[in-house]
Amino acid sequence: MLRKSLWDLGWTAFWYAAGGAVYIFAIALFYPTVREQAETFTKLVAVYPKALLAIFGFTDITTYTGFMGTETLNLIWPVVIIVFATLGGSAVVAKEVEDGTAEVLLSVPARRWRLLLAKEIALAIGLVGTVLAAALALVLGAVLVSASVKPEGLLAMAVVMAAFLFTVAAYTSLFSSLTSSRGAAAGMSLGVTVASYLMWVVATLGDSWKWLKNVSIFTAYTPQKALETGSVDLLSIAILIAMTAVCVVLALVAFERRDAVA
Amino acid sequence: MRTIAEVAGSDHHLNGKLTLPDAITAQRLTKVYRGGNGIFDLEFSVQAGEIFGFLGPNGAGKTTTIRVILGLLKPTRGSLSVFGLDSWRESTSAKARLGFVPGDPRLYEKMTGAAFLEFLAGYRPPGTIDRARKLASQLDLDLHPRIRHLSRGNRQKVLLIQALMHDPPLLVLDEPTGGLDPLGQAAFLELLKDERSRGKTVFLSSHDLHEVERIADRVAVIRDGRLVAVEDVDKLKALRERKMELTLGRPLRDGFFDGMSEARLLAAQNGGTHVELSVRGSPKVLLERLAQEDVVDLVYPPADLESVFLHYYQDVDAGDART
Repeated sequence: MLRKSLWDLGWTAFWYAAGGAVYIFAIALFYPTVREQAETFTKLVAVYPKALLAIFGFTDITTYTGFMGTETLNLIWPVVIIVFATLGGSAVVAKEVEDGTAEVLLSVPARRWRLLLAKEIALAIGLVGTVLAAALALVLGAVLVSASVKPEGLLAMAVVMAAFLFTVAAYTSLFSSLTSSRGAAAGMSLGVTVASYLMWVVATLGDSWKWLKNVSIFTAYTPQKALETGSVDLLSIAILIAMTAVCVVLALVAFERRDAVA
Repeated sequence: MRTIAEVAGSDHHLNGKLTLPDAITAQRLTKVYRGGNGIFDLEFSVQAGEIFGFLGPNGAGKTTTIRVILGLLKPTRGSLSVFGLDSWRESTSAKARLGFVPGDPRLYEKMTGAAFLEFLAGYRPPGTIDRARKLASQLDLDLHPRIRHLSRGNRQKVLLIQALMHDPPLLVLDEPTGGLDPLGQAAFLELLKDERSRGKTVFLSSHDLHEVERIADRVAVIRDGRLVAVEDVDKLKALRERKMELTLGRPLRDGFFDGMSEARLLAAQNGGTHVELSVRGSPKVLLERLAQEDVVDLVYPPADLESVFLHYYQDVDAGDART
C-alpha cells in the first residue's frame, strides 16, 4: 500500500516540490538588488502598518534569510504547500470512496487502519520531499547571490516546516476519514487553517489579543527564525507533533470503526 | 482432493466429526441508513459448495448485503458470518476466505492490469500472482495496457481474476455480468459452474432472473430491503408466473380454462381476440389446448423478476386479507 500510495502521489508531490523550489530559487536571484538598496527598502517598509506586515510575513529584508523569509518561507511557499497537504490529506480516504475503488481495496484481508496509515506515511514522505526541495533551492540561491545559510539553520527550518505541514495534513486526513468527501474535508481543513492564520495575525496587533497565539498553529511556524538561529522552539514542535499524532490516531480509529462506504 | 477444512479455511468439530460451517449465515441482519432505507431482518444461510442467487431489483438491498458480507458496513442489528467468522468483528479473517467482484468495474485507472493484480496479490498468500497470470492467460487477457485503456469486458476480467487468484472458498459477486456481452456472460456463468464443481461457494447478486435460474442452486429474493423468499431454483421456476399474449382469429372457446390450474386469464380485448394469460409452471397443457384454437400469434417472453414477485405478493396480500 505504501509503495502504491507513493506511486499515486509521486508526480503531484514532484510538481509541488519543484514549483516551490523554483519559486524560492527565482526569488533568491532578486536578493542582490535588495541588498544594494537596503537602506531605502528599510525606510519604505517602516511606514507600512504593523498588521499589514504581519499578514504578509514581512521582516528585515536586508539579510538573505530575512529576505527569503519575507518573500517566500513565511507566506507564499507555505500557502502553496498547504494546498498540497490539504489536497493530499483530503484524498486519503475520500478519493477511494469517490472513485469507487474503496470496495475492491477494502475487500483484501488487511485492517483498514493499516491501509490508511500507509497512505498517511506516503503523504508525509511527499511533504518531506517538498521541504527538502525548498532547502536545496535556498542553498543554491545563496550560492548564486554570494550569501550563506548555516547547515544547522537549514536543518532547523526543515524540522519546523515539516512539523507544520504534517499537522495540516493530519487534521485534513481526519476530516477525510470522517466525511469520505474530498470537497468537505478540504473545505473544513482550509477553514481551520485560515482561521488559525487570522488568529495569529490578530495576536500580533496588541496585548489584549496576544492569547490567540496560543491557539494558532502558525505560532509554531517560524522557518525564518529557525534558519537564522539554527534552533527550534522544542515546545512548539512538540505541540505540532502531538497534534499530528492525535489527528492521525483519530483518523485511523474513525476509519476502522465507521462504515467504509455509504 | 481438498479437505473440508481447506474449503472453509478453519476446523469445525461437532461430536468429534468434522463439519462444514455454512459459507454465509445471516441472522436478523439489519442495516438502516439515515433516511430509513436499508435491509431489515434478513435470515438466510448459504451452504458451502452451492451457487446462491441473490435476486432483487435495483435498490432492493443487494449491494448493502454484500457490503455487510465484506465488512464494509456494520450491521445496525443482527449479524452475518462468513464460515463462522463475524463479518464485522473478524472481517480480516473472513475476507481472507473470499473473493469479491463488484458490479461497477471502477479500478485504478493509471495502473496496468499486471500492476493492479500484483498490488492486490500482496495481501494474499505466496503464489497468488502466479495463479493470476495463469488465469489471465486462460481468459486471453493482456495485462500490460493501463486499465483506463481496457474495455468494460476486460475490466470485468481483471476483477474476476483478482477475485479468483487466491483460490478462495467463497466468491461474492455483485451483478458481475452487467458489462459483458451475451457470449461473455455465458463464458462467465460456465466459469462459475466450474468453480462450484471444485467445491467453491458462490454468492451471486443479480437482478436478472434468467441468469440466476441458469446456474443457481438456491435463490433468495429481496425487495425493499426485506427477504421475500429463499427457495430452490426448481421451486422458484414452478412458482413464478409468466405472461403470455395471444392474438386469435376468434375468441377462446367457453370452458377453455376448465380444469387447468397452470393458466388464468388476465385480460381480454378486441372482442376476446387479444388475450393476456398468466402461466405458472409448465405450459404443456395450455399449449395442447391452444393447438385446438385459432391462434394467429403468440408472445411468451422470458420470466422476469416481476413474475416472481407477482406470486409472492399475491401470497402476502392474501395473508394481509386474512389478518
